[in-house]
Amino acid sequence: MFVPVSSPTVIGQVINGAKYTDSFYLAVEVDPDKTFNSHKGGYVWILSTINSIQLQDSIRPKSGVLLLEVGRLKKNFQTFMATHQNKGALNKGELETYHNILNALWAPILITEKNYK
Amino acid sequence: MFNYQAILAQITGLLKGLYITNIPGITSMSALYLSSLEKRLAALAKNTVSGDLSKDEVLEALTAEWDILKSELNSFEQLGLTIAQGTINDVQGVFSSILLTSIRGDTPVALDNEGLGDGSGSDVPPVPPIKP
Repeated sequence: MFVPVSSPTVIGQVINGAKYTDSFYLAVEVDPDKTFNSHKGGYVWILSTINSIQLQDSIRPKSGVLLLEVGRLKKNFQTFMATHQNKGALNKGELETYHNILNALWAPILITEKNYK
Repeated sequence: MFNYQAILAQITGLLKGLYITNIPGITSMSALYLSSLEKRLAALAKNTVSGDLSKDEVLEALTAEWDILKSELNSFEQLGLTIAQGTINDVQGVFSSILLTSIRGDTPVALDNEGLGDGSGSDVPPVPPIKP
């Protein structure tokens, strides 16, 4: 099986993306103002980071596995972002649920990227 | 409320085979996954009882668990583990069953049928435009 070459740049972006996603949800959870409009900047930053990882991986030969994992992360992130936007504000339970799921979707991406040769 | 411990037991049983491997890292990674799954399911149950999550939101979260597990299995494969298609089908069957019987009642719930993907990237979801 052909294995892509691991990229330190992508590893750095994955670490930063995971870290920022975690801190973003922690911040919204404790903020009395849980409206989408007050936090949309965080969503844009995370989504642009995911897009960047996706773009860099898409131009690598035989990069399918990471693309699948990033695609799942992006799909769920966009669903949660749209829910927040449509509802206007999220409650603590919704934020905790989305936070947990996104943390869990970042982890295998880092493992996969680090285990490329 | 759904019985999260029953769900956890079902998934643990299915992944038990993955522990029987001599590939470094797989055993600890599967244990880590199951431990974090338990925490997520417990939080989901708690938030269902408190009324913070609707039935649809619980369903959405459990469907996301299918994505998480697929990505975990992809990363296991990256470490050298070969996962039989039968195992993947079994796990998908259990998830469908969980969603069907535990949450939705008698309404069928469709899970995507991509398996773990063929690695070509052709089944990556389309990219919608960024909303500022």
